[in-house]
Amino acid sequence: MIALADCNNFYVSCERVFRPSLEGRPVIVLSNNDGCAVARSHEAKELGISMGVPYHQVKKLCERNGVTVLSSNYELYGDMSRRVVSVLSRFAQEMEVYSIDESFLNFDGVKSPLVLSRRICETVGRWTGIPISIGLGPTKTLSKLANRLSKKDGVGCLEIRETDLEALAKVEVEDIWGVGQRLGVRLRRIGVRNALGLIEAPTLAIRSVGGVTLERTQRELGGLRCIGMEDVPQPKKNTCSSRSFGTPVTKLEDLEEAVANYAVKAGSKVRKEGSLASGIQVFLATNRFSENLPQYANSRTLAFDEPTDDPIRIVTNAKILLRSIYRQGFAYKKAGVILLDLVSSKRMQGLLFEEYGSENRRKFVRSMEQVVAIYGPSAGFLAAQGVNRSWSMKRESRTPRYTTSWKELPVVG
Amino acid sequence: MKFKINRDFFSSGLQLVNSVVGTRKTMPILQNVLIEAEAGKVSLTTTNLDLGARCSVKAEVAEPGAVTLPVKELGSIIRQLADMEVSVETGADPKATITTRGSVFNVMGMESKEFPPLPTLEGQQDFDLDRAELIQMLKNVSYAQSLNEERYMLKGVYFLFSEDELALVATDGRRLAVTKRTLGEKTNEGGEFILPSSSVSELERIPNLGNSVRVSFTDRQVAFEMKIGNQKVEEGEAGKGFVESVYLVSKVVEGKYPNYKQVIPKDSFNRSEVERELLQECVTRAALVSDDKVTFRLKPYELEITGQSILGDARESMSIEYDGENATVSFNPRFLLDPLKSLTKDKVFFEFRDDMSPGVFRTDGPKEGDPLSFLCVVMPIRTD
Repeated sequence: MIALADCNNFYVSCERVFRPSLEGRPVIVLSNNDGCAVARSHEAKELGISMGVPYHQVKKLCERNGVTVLSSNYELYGDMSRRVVSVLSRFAQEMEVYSIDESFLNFDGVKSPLVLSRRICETVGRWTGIPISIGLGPTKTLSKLANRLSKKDGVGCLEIRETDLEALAKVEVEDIWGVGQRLGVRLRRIGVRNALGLIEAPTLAIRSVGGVTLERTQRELGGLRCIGMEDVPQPKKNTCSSRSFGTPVTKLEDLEEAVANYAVKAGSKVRKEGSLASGIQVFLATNRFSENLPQYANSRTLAFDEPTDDPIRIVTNAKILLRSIYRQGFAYKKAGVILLDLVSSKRMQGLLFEEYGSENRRKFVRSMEQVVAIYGPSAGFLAAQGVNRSWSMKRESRTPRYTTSWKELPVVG
Repeated sequence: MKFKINRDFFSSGLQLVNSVVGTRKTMPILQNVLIEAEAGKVSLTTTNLDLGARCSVKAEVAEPGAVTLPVKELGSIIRQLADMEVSVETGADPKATITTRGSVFNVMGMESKEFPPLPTLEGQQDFDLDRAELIQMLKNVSYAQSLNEERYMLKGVYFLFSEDELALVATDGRRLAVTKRTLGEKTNEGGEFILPSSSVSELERIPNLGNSVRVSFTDRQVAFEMKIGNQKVEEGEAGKGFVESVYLVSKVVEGKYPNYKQVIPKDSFNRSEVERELLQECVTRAALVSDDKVTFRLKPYELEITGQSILGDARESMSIEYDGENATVSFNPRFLLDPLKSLTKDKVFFEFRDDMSPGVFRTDGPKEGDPLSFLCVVMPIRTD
């Protein structure tokens, strides 16, 4: 049996742990730059605030109904996620962290999965303050489906099997894990409307609509396990660091600062994973929703002479690429850096000219990272990253980072 | 302009210059070939402003003149004509009429006056070299050029003329190939330039024409002129029909080439003598099941080459001339195969020390009757 443990309204729940006064009240959390609603409490959902709706469209509704509107606080959510995962890992031999708020647990051999699930929900709730729901099924797809139904019915834990025809008939085809809106339209065209319909549809027809991937989903719904557990996250092939700007940016210097920051962040991710990047891509774009303004978007890629994780080298090349695609007279909304074709740093191709990978440079980078880890990001950074960072993201209503910043610890009394 | 030309001569000439075209939308004329007809020959010129190529082909010119025509399309037309004798004629318009028995093509062109002239070199240094030797030297090192733009000065082959020697060098930071040739006469002149990789490829693909090449260079440009001389023209044979010279002029890569001499190991390394082709075959086979890494285990009189990947593993062994200590070192197999394939000698020396030190391939030379020497330094793969 596979269990999917999913945190309920995760971002909102994280906020409620430190602000219990928000319990029972409508709360929404906005995406970067306070753009769209990305998490909604049950009460906010009842007001008709849909997932992903731009905030400006529901601003008045929120004000009228006293909805608490918060900016996203990723440091807090990341740390709370880590806590939930650490509790969950006590209950299963095999576990796969699927996303920030979802984890699959292998319950093969467990006598009463439903009883264990209820105990997990209670323990996670008591130890971390985060409410979770658990869906159980013989396959990942069915456990995902069970989780969806459990949330819908508000039951907390629910088990579903391929033989529960009534329950399967209730699930719209678009709501099945691995189907989505686009495939849903095509499936409806051939008369498949719900999960039961997908199980019963001829395999050849399913393969012609969505290839072998959809056929796998069909088999999983039928109780045949096709998607295994991934204990260790697969090493990434690329890593991206990108944000939209708080205000449109026109000057090259500001863009350079932003891109340098993204490059450092991407480089740091790569280094933590024990990888090296073989290439780098820089992209920038204007706001495509501002139709009255001139539009421009471009990207450029460069292959490093040899794979690297050196932030100085990454930043230098990111700036060179940015300068080659920057055009004056546009108001840029977004830029980003992608580090490409990541390879393991364990296998190192020796270099003839050591100017980039010299030991001194490596020592310097390590020291800088230690300083940042102890004293915070403002204690040490490359000059290219700038000081003012006027372009940085807008997060006007962010709550304190209660668990990750000493300066922002919650004060009692 | 009016001339008659052999179809295969014309086609060979166009083929020689047709890859040097510009892609700039703002200068469509760079996709054209400049055709200039004068007494007994037709000159064909193309350029992309970084590199220019010119050759002359034998023709019966009735009326001198010039026109530019789209080179790719013209090449296709000429190649597919049914008859050997082709007539080309232009009037007042930049339009050419190409006629052969049963076929007439009217091809729109552009004014020859608009075609950018090839640069002329001023205050240049000149060296005369053997053409076949120069091409062989280029082939010996060109695979080691960098493909990446990060260190743009490595995207080319470095030419270093010293008092009595010419060295060609290429490196991508992980391997370095050097080939040298002693120059016949001592000169007081010396000089250096970096030939861009695109020009290296052009030079390598020029057909075997003439015996000598004149290399002229300044600090901005370099020209290669292959004198055809009085080569006998055999009718109907493709690749022939060229007259006077083939001329290639290129910008040089601006920038300072790294001090390559400092990375050539000077310490005492172990030396083994190996059969080049046998080593090449063994590495090729071991690489079939390797994950971009093959390991050399050197023992007295034996070299073991192993490869390993999720597919499985492979072990090859061959006998070598070596009686030193055991040593193990790993390399990217491509970096080993490239120099081995480029060489023509039967035996090469492989020098090594330990798993952290580079491997060095050398050939015997220079010596009497063999003025060329070769060396390739390959950095190892270290596994933590």
